[in-house]
Amino acid sequence: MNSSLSIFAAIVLALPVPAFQEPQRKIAQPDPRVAAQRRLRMIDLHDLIAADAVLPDFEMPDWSARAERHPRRATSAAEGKAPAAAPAPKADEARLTARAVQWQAMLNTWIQPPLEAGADRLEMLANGVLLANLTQTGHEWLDAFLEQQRKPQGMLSTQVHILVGPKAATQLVVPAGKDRVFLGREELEHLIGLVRAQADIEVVSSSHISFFRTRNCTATYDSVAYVKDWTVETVEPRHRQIAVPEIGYAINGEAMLARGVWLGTDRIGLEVELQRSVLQHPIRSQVVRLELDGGQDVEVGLPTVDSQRLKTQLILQPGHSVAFRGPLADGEREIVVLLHADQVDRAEILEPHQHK
Amino acid sequence: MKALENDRESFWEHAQRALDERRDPRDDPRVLEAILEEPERLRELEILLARIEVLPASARKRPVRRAAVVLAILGAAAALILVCVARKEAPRARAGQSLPEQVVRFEFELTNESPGHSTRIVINDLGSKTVSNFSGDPLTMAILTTELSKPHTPRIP
Repeated sequence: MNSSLSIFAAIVLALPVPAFQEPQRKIAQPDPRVAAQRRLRMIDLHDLIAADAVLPDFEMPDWSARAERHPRRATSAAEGKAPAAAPAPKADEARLTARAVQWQAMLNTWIQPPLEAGADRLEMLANGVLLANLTQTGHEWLDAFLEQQRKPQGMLSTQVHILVGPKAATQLVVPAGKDRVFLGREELEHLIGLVRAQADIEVVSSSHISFFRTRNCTATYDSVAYVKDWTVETVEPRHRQIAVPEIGYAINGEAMLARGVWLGTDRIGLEVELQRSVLQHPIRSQVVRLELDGGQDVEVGLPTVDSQRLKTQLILQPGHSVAFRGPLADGEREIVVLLHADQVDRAEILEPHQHK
Repeated sequence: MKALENDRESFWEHAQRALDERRDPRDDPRVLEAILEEPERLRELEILLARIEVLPASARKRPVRRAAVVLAILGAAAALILVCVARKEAPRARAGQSLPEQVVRFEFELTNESPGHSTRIVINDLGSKTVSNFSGDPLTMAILTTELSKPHTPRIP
């Protein structure tokens, strides 16, 4: 009995009492994916950012904002002020910062393998230093990419063609049963020739723009003012009512933004944004009778605008194209969007007079 | 005498090793050294080589063929391992490598807008869809706006 009691006592005494135990410290361990497979490096990209910042920076126009609130163009007779001057060019520092942001976006877009959320990190610091926490493969890609970018860079070029026509014609470019097709240089020239020979197909080509590495934007457009609506305002002196027109603006033209970069020696990584807007002429109008001074007829404009907006990101061989096909609302015609990417001959850039 | 016997044993030992290794013993420097010391050894060696020469070809070649088979198997296994590793490495596209031509993202929007009516067609990676919005007669809307906007401005004394 005594022996069993002593054994019990020994067990009880041997058991740890939680209250008197040292609090167990939990040390936060990094995610094993991050700790084991990734390496943090800081890479100086001053030279690349500064090289790109030499070129002026363009911004894609915001047509939606423009249509809503258009700046006054004409001089106000009452105020006698001149129209607002063009915005001042960006200061060097602001331009460098903008390019650094573009570089970060470009690296995030094209890096291979793609960044793994929560584990990989590519961040451009304000001083032009890139913070890269990547796998070994990611670092290898980055090193090779940056090495290539430090070599002399030629210009890239791109153009978009929009084809609208009956199915039989659009299927010359994108065969039936497919919604997209990649085309070589010769194939494209052959197909464009075939398509242009078709009487019932409409071809609209965007500007053919050439650009250096980070970006370029071209915009040729006009905003056409029209009387959108009328309001009746009571004004002084004589406390009379007058009809006040509300002006609307319809955009007519094209804006195109292209960002491209060499990925390896024979691939172009390309991002293109295109917006086209075609105002149909003449602008339809309708007469509206206002209850003013016993009735006053005024005219309201009813513009019809056909617009196209394209946003795409591609990897293409120089000289190659990609074509997409889709149906139109009428169910009979189809649309083909054809995008071409190429490199500009370096000799052509340096010695343009020889190529005239 | 003992030294001579030791030299002799050493000579044959080197000669045999060269033969085992499929080399000509006459190219072995130690064998040549021994022959220079005692030229008679060359004649003995040549007798041995002549006897080996007349042995049936199959008996001599068998070990070589077996070794070749073993080497071929090892080579095939190594090639298989390399192929597997290369396949695993394939998705790791690097900047120096050629990426396949591809469409990463594509969205095209076609809109026809007039007051009171709009048709929108979207073609993207997921296919295409048409959206039409009819928001009434634009003229009615204009008149309605005009009616609602009649102000009540207080008369200035």
